[in-house]
Amino acid sequence: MKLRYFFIGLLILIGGCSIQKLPESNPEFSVSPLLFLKSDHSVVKNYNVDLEIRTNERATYHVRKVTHVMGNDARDMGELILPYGGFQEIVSVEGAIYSSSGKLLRRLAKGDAKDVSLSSGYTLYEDTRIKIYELYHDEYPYTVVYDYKIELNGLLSLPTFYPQNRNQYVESARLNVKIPQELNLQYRELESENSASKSVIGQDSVFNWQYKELAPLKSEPYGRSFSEVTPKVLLALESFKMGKSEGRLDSWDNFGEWYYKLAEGRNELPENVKKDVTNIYGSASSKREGIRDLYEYMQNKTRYVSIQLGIGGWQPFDARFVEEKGYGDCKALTNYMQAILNYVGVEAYPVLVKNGISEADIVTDFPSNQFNHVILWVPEADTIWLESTSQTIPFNYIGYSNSDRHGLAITPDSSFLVKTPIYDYHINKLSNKTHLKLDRQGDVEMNIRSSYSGYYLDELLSNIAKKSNKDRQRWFHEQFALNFFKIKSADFSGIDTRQNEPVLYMEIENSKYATKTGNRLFIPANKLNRLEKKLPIPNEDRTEPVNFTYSFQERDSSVIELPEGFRVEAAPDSIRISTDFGLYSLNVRDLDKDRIAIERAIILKEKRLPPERYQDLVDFFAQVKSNDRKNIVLIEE
Amino acid sequence: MVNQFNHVITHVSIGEDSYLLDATSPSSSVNILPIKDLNGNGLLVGKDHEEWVKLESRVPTKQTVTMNAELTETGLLNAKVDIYSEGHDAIKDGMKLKNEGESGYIESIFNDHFEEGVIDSFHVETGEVEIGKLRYRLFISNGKTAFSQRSGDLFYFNPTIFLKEEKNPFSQPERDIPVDFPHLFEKSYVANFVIPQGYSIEQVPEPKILTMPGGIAELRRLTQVNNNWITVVSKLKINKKTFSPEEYQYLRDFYNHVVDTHNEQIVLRPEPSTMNSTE
Repeated sequence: MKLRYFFIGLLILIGGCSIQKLPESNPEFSVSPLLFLKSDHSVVKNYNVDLEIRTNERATYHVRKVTHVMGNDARDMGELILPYGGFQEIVSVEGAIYSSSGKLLRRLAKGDAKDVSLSSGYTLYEDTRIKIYELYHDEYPYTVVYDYKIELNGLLSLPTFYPQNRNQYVESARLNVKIPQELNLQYRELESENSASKSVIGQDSVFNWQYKELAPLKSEPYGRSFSEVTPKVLLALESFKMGKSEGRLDSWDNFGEWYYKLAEGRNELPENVKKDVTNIYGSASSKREGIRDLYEYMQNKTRYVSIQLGIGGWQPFDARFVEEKGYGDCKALTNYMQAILNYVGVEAYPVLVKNGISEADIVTDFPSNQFNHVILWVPEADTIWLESTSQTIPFNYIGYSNSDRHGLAITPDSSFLVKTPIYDYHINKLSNKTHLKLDRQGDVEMNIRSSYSGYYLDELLSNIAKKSNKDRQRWFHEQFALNFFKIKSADFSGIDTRQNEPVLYMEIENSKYATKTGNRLFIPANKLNRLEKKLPIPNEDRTEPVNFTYSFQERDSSVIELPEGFRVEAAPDSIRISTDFGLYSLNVRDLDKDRIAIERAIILKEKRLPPERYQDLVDFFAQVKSNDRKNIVLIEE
Repeated sequence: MVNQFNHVITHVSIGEDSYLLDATSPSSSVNILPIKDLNGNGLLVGKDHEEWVKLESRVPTKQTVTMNAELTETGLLNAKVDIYSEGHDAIKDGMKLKNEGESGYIESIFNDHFEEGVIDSFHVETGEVEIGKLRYRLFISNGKTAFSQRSGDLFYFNPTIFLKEEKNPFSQPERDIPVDFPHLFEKSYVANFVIPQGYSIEQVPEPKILTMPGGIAELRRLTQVNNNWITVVSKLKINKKTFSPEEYQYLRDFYNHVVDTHNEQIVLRPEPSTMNSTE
């Protein structure tokens, strides 16, 4: 009896306490059926995080989390992944599962963790490994408890606090940060009205954030991503130490200076490269062309392998290392490209970015390490941007996942935020020109000429660049909404030669392109390029702004040669729908008595709209789908 | 040998008949095992004997959708739809109802099947779920976007609302591994359309019967015209669970015909007096 109270007493202690042994049973861990009303995924009873910062280099991170797993979907709440090596070490991990009545079912045993290297396909070798702990049970609901401590040795980054997971109800979550008074903590709360409560305990400042009764976030179709809308607390040290180097985060300029110092003295090119580079640049007919030729030279010489060593991956490799090994990570490759350009007298600067198609932009007034990638900015010759990690991406195109966001440009004199190019519907373009020969059965032989740029180019690059013919065909079979077709011949050289707006050619045989009913043939006005989006039933109480991944423009022009003995009996009227956010047009006309021409265009100009406009968007796409389905009716004479 | 097993279910013999039950799955029923159990053979461990039992679906999976629809002069659609499912489909739909509620379930029906425009409204009149059987009646109306298309003088529409596939699920030209259907199934769709006053029926799709050798797959589609009524009956049956890579070509071909058949249109022509009044 006394022992039980002792354990419960321990549970109530705030801050820095560690429970040596999770108890045999604890009514606090029981799951009341009423909790299903809060979430049928998972309910967090307590989530306590204590971050104790001792110096600008060392901190202890202690987490204790009690999660009620309500159903199968939340099974992965029992998985704990902890990285170690490099700049953090795991001090202790305790875990256990309790039944819905609070009885201990199983404790995590010593050897229960999987130990995995973080080397994945593109990371060749890394200091960091991960330990994976798993606690699962078969009868729902049950409670998973984890209590772990990590030692951080290098405080460039402090962990962001996310109180809530997807579909989860949180009864209580708290972040507590203790820091010596002489060090300054920078912090920012996002997506919540919460603010820190500050106090002083002895020589330390204490910051506390408390979250209570967080209901699961409503997810609405085409809304922002979960990571964007979920509440979070960002943390950073004004002055930090990482390995042998020290830096400051009180301004972007100071942070950039730290990065710059790391890179100093690492851009010495090997002699043979110096010779090549001089020749190539010298024989170009313009500065821009010279830069392009050097970029392609670099692309041909290296392959991207992410190597995260040393200062948390922060020190770019020597240009010579990249040259010798033929590979390097984004920092090394960008540094290499910069060294090449600097050698011929062209100014170029690395820009740190947060890469990712659905990633929100960085918080621009919170200097901190929010980055995961680096690209190269060449301000002269009409401003050029270079993505150094891809061997297939064209010159001066950085990919949609790097576009339209703030990045930190690092120059010798100062570092400052810049904005990467915006790829909107002017750049994200798909254009198909098709010639079809239709026979009386509804079968066609067609030639398609397709040109891709912007987001469409990204899709093409990831799916067919450097892939086998078989894989390419496989992809096109999935893209076209055609039955039963065969690619007779294809010319993909546009992709292989890294054109900026590659054009692909294909010859296709397709049966049943047009549907035969009796003596009539029904030709769909748009069969090749249907709008895939299925719009969900509209919601009048929508609160989330509408958020499409990208704005775009698609144009399809076709010429169809009619089969002998058939004439056009009916054709859809021309239509043009124009709104402030989008445009759609369909036009069918006779070219001569044997041929018809179809022009179809769709443009989505805005990728973000306020929530009240959702209904208009649904209506617009419904009309697009409805018109795309229209048929041209041929009848046999 | 023992390590090849990872699950236990119950076998019950009553007289001549036997029944299979999986107690861990709330969504299954007598002889309707969860799909993950339908894997090859199971070892029956009896009191004094063992035998291999084939694990396949023992209850037919059937779905019948009956629709009575009225097409208005302006090409809009009002319909009463009766959905009846039996077997795995009933279990699957029952789970969907439970997890997503009525509107989630209806939404998925239309998103999956009703490509022809957007359903503006629906309401459920009766709905019943027994274990292994599901019966739903709903009323749909398509009030804003026209259901039938107009092209010059003609009006046309695709009567196959349910059962329609957007494109052949077997789109790849070749296949290295067998196609494994989780269970055999039979889907039927009966639709009655009342044509608006002042329109004549110009053309209806021809009857079609398509079978793969041995009856392993079957497609039927019949159309009947009665004054201003059109009845379309479609039936799709898959009678074989596994198709080898060699048979893949034929299965793909079969499905091409299925998609094609279900794309066929009914053509209406407004009578001369109607022409003047609708323009």
